[in-house]
Amino acid sequence: MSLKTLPLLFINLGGEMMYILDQRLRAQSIPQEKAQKVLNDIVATMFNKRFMEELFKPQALYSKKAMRTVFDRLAHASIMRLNAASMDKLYDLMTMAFKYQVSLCLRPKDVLLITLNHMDAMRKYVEGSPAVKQQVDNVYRMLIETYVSLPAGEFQLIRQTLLSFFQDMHIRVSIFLKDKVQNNNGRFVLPTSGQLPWGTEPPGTIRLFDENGKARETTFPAGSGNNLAKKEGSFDMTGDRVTKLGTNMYSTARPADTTAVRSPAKTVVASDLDSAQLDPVAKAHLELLSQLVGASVTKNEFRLNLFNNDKEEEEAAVSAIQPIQEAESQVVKIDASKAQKSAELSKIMGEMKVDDAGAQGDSDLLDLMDSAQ
Amino acid sequence: MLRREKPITLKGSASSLCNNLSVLVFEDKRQISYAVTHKYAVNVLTASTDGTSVTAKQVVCKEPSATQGNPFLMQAKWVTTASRCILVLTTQRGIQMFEPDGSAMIYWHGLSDTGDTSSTNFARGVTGVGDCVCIGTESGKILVFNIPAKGTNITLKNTLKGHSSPVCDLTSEGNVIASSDNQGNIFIWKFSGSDAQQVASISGSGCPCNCLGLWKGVVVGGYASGHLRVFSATTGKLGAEVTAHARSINAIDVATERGLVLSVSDDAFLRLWQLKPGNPPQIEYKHAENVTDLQLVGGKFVDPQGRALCLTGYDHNEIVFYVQA
Repeated sequence: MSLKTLPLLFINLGGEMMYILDQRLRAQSIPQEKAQKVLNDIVATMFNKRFMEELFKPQALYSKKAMRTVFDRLAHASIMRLNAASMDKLYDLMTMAFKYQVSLCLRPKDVLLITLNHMDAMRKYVEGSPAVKQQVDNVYRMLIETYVSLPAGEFQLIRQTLLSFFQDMHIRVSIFLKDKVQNNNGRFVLPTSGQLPWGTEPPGTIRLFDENGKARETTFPAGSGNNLAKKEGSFDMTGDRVTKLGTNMYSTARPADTTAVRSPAKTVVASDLDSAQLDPVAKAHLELLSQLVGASVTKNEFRLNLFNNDKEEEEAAVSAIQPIQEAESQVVKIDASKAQKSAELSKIMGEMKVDDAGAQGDSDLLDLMDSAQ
Repeated sequence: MLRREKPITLKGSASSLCNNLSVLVFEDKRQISYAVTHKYAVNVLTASTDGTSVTAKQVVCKEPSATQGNPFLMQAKWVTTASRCILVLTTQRGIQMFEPDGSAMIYWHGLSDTGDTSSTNFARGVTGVGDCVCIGTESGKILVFNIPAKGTNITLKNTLKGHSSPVCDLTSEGNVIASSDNQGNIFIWKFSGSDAQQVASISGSGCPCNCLGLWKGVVVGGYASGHLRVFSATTGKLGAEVTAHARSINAIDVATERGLVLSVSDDAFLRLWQLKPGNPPQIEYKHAENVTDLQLVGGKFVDPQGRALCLTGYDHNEIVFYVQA
């Protein structure tokens, strides 16, 4: 387990959170001024200098519970409010997106390029606010100083540590299901060809050396379509990161579709003791974060909904309380041809369609906002 | 050439760690045990060779001081010395040795002496030679423990210095062991009792050598770059280099009666190779299978002829089996 993993986990989850919030703020037509304030406030809190210094000290990862609490606080660092169901959904989407990126990255050091992709996007969000932008630049410097020169073996350990954090999380995300990069059991699809990691060779060659070190080459069938990496991504403050992992997947072509479908929860594994209680280090960081967040609360609050409309959100809140076993046998087989579908299934099917039916619900939310002012 | 067989279900999924599968065959009892690491625990499964009964057990690494919580596991491996078989668990902070069934802990060795949580000194890479068990560490040292035929009187006999980066894997044949590290360096050591002498060294290029095999004086290494390399264990000379996988190779194994090599990778492929001893040693491609959507982290032959093999994959709670058709 690498003790240098926590900053990467935090920054990337934070980056994914910003993508989703930005997308939802626009989908709910939150006035530009308010939306920008939310983005600024959250990035400013996330990259607070003291908080970052604490985070970059060598330490174990937070427990899953502690990490969730940190992001709960962070999401409420501005004038935006999320209810429990929306917060659950936001966190599910963030974690599955970063799990996908860590799982699919070509070589362990790509985790740093993914992080820089998130940093690049966050810097853009706060471009209009020089003070916050300076905080972001400071984090770039910390990242470059800490990680760029690390050897491949250390990155391998960092990736293994990240993967252990995400182990046994199989939440299905509709954007992944639609792109066919995730299977219905929540596992990611692994390509058997395509881009090769930087600095490696396509499989299929055997070089046999004689006593004098002279080589004779033979080949073996290793499949085709493996492309050599043309250049390495940039580890500078700016530049082409080459990998698309970590960029915003909720962009223009695919709006209001941030649906996560919780898989039937498996029996809790006995060894997963990390969720039992907050570790003291995480607790100290949380207190620090609370102080930071506490300072910026104003009266001009509004509520953001991660669902298409308030009704869906309420349903999600109710279904979260229901015993999970009920859904277990139903989720495995999705057969649209059968007339008799469970409510759960039709919901999944519905979420997999692209539509703009959420518009009416959104106006309700705006009304709510107006009355709150 | 290979036929997929019915899998065995584990109590927990396999962690993303290299060499995350150990196999122990009890020929007299017609039983096979499998050990797979899941975060803080090892899942040990024992199955009869006809597949009719499977029993499961979980071995948790307990720390002497309760305040630090359970340490993160790096590896679990059965080691057979001249007189005994033990189950070795290595963690981010130390080493624990158990009876082979995991029932009783017989030895504990701490590596992180400072006691704070801001540093680690993990152990990784385990092998047996003579009456000793050798274990690699994050600092690059290899610890040599003497294992008595019975009882708990295990002692640290020797510390081998040579590696300057964390040890990845250890393997042995007779009185020779091979060790690899994060920089891709490989050292060959010759043992006499608990004393050892470095007989050959192979320089790496900065890319970790995750896994090693040793057979009839031939060393085969699997690298994070997807390369397999074959060296002479006596001279350290490179005999063959294979661009074997599109991602990191996470485990290799050698079927000792035939010199058949199994390599598994993050690229979801298993590949089989034939080693050819000689001067210099060579290698030949035999076969490949795609294990759909599984980043393979462990792979072992079940029998010394290499007729059956088993695999584990990250985040997957089954041991996958293939047999020669």
